[in-house]
Amino acid sequence: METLVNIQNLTKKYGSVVALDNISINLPQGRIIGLLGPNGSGKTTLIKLMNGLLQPSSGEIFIGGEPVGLETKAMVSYLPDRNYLNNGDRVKNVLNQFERFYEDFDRDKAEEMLDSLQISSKMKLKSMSKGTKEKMQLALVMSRQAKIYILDEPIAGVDPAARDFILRTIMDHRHPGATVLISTHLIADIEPVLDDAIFLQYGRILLANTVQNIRSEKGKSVDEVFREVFRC
Amino acid sequence: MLGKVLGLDMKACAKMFLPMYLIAAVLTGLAKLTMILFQHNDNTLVSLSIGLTMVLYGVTIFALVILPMVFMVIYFYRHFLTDQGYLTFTLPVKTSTLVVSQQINGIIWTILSVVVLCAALFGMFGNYIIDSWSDIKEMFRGIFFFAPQALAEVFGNKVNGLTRILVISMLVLEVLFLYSSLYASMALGQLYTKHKILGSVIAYIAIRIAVSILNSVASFVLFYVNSVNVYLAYQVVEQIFLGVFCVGITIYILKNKLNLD
Repeated sequence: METLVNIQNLTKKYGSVVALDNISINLPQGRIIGLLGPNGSGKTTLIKLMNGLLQPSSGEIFIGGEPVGLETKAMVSYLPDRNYLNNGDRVKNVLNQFERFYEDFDRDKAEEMLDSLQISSKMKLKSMSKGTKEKMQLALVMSRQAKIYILDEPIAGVDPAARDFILRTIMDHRHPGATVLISTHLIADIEPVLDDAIFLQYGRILLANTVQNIRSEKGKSVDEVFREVFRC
Repeated sequence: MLGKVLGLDMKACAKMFLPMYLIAAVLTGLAKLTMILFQHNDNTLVSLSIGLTMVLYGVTIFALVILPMVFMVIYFYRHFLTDQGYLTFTLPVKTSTLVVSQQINGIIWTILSVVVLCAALFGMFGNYIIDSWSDIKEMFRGIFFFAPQALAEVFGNKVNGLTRILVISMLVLEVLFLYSSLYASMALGQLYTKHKILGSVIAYIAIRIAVSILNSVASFVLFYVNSVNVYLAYQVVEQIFLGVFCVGITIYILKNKLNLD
């Protein structure tokens, strides 16, 4: 499998706290990868580093052969674990902004997805519920023909029906051949869609393998292995 | 790309500035109307309403002077250093383009606010100080003549065309430096894991103290040169250097030390 993301000896420290401790891993192209770990394991830090929102203390990340920067931002479609849109904007303005800045943004697809969510382009974001805003962000992110989708906790804090919608949206709308990296600690919900799993703990990679191999080697589901590994 | 980013910034800031301009126009009109209608009326209630509209007008003038800076600081902070920064910094746009756009955006809205401020002042007091457009022309001539003249007299020099150009350049560059120093302070402040706003305030005070010391030393030395134009030329060069330096710091930090935690 061709490597899309190459992470080499990556360390991130916040003062004396080590959030990521010398991790190295390659993420292949076209796979759905679960970045799994309990809170504080370093998932969000790794994702922010891949998006250039934090700078590493040492080590390097290459996406599509390029170091994180202007070129990689055009390849990555990122869903953060928070609302990054301006609440004062209307949906139409946000669509215009994505269309203006992302060459790979498919506006028709975005409008179709928003229609299915009954989100009108005239609506103001501040009139939407938190859940609707999250779905709208997901629709925007999945409407890009990106090389990699990096989704930080997309199913955290939502009801089971919304989880189904989110996972269906990701599976149905990802660009063919793209990699999807999903961070979560809700393994049971996403296990059926995963190709690979990476377990993170205290900023270190505990396990990185295909879901099939994990199941056959351990004789358990990924969710059961996760519960066993991270038992308090 | 700069055009795209600037368009986005201008549009976003218009939501803050245009309502302020509208309020300024309405309150200036109201204050003027109240004054015309009731200026010879001694009724207590009428006097109170004149007083109230005058206070509101005064607040408007004050707001037109102060708020452009406040709005630009809020916009920079929200756009770069809060959750919105997660979108701003993942757009495929160079950090330098984002920062330069903020500079241009700040300068444009400040110039527009000065124009609205002048309109509000002329709208209210115009008939007391001017009778015709030629008077307005005279007034501007006065502004651009007397300020350089006063400065030239300190040095015992006579004012000339170069002095006026340098004074105007200095005023415009002061706006550039104001925003670049504010943005650099916020970029420095975000380096702190906690107390980012306090860090920004401390950084701004430190920059201003450093500039004041530099200015004091330069003024002391240049006073002996005894030329107003040399003094002003130094100020212009200093403003350009400091403005560019602060823009450079902001770009460097946001590109290499961004800390959106």
